[in-house]
Amino acid sequence: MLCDSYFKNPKDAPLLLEKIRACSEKSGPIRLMEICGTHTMAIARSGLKSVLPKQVELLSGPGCPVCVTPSNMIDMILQLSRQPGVMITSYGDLLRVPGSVRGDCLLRRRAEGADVESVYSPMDAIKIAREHPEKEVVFLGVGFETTAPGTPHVFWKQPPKNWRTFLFCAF
Amino acid sequence: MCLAMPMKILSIDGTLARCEAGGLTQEIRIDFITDAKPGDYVMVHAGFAIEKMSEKEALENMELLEEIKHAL
Repeated sequence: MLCDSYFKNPKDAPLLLEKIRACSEKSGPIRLMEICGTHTMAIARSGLKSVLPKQVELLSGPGCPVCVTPSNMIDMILQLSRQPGVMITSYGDLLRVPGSVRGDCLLRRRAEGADVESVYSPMDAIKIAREHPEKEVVFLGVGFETTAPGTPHVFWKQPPKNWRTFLFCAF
Repeated sequence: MCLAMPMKILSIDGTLARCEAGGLTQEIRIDFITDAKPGDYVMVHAGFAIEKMSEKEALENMELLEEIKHAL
């Protein structure tokens, strides 16, 4: 993959760190907030905070319901994706979230032949379920306050019998 | 899911609204905005309007999104 050769190249790191150090000496303190849980995990895994100059402070932001989904939930979904007759419908960003096995995600499972569709809304998933009565269509109902109300709302309109929702509950 | 988008309501048919942003139109659900009318701006997320916005807020938001797009 190009990603590995372009971005995961340890020999370039000292040069980049030197440029960051020089820039931060001119600019003064810099505070950077990442807002995605996958960035929080990547920063922790790489130990980035320990090699950045003191003037550059990394702050963890709120994350979103997609990227803070526990890996055991993703493992359950990945197992479901292997069931014959099952189609997984999901918000696009959830397709990239790995389970407990690094690199194993719905996007990879789709490449291996699993029936996985990216949808923008639960209504799109219902439309797909109507178009594929032969499939058990599972919608991954991830979401916090801004997204969660929409998923049960579509239940009120009697979705097709082959539509299922996998609800994530965060406490 | 990371991104919600301001859109302008063009027309309403029951719980569906035809909305426009950046020259594109889309049908979204307005179940959560009980007093929506054509001409209103709403924040759209995962197929639903989740909040009404003033025109000023909506246009400022869209300008920021354009700025991000050009920065990438």
